[in-house]
Amino acid sequence: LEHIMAQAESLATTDQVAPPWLAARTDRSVGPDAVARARTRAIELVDRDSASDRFPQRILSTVKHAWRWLAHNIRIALSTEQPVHHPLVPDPVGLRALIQHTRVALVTTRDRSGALHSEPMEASQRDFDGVIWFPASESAPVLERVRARAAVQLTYHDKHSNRCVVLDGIARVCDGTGRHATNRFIRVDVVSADAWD
Amino acid sequence: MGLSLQRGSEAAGPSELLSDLVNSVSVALITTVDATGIMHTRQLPNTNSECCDDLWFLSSQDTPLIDEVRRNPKVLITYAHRATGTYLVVNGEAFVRNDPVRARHLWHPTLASWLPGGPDDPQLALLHVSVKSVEIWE
Repeated sequence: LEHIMAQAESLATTDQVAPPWLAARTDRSVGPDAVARARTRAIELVDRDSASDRFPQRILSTVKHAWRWLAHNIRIALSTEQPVHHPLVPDPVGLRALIQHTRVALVTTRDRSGALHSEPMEASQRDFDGVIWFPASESAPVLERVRARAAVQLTYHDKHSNRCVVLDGIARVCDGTGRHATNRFIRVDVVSADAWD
Repeated sequence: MGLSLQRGSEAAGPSELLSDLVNSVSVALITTVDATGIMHTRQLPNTNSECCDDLWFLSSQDTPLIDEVRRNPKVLITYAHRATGTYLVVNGEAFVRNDPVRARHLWHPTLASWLPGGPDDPQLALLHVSVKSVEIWE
């Protein structure tokens, strides 16, 4: 675990992909190659570790911060009319409003063979803090795909604004608690967004 | 509700329904997977009026989309019919074809904003999607 952490952290520093606490102290520019490498490495780390039950939260957190920092600095150069809703995630595409009134997303996953699948799923919450939860029954094939490959995409079509938003995320399967104990939930940590009007 | 149709199994009814849907959507989404396993979803102007044994699209050579398709032909094409909230998800394999006649046949003036080089641009790429399955979601 420490070894993987060290790798993730060295990636964050040597490839100039700095998590926010580091970005505050440095002022480096980031090229597209560094972004691609960081994303690839992050997915490798998360894919490998999410296969085991002991999913290392610290790694997820490091990767997430690196990605959010990227999203903040590079990926999104759209309007900024929506209020910022999360200290680490700006909301230039109006994600919060979108997720509040469009709860159904097209969830794109890949199975072990690499084949793509896409299906609409309804989120269980109305607010958005960077994480989206989708309830699913244990027998749903999508769970197996998420367990096999953690990188997913969510596509939202906003009827009101006619806007299409594609979110990149890291997904994992979580057990329900209490009255939802028989359910499973897919937790998607959103790492970046692209939007078209 | 989802209705899944394997290629070749659709009856006349669903096929017409699907063609109507495809016909009424001007911009489709294409999802590809790059060499590192990351998915990319991009807009693609719709140049199809029938669904679905084969779909044909026009794009540009030297784009990441075409690079990704050449490495990994597995793609998803999504048609979102916003008015009715219907999604058509087409699973298939995409190939870059060299067929100037077909490319010119697909050309429509509204494509000029996407492909300013026009139908005879040597950089134009003709994308052929061989459809494996079609799902319709409401």
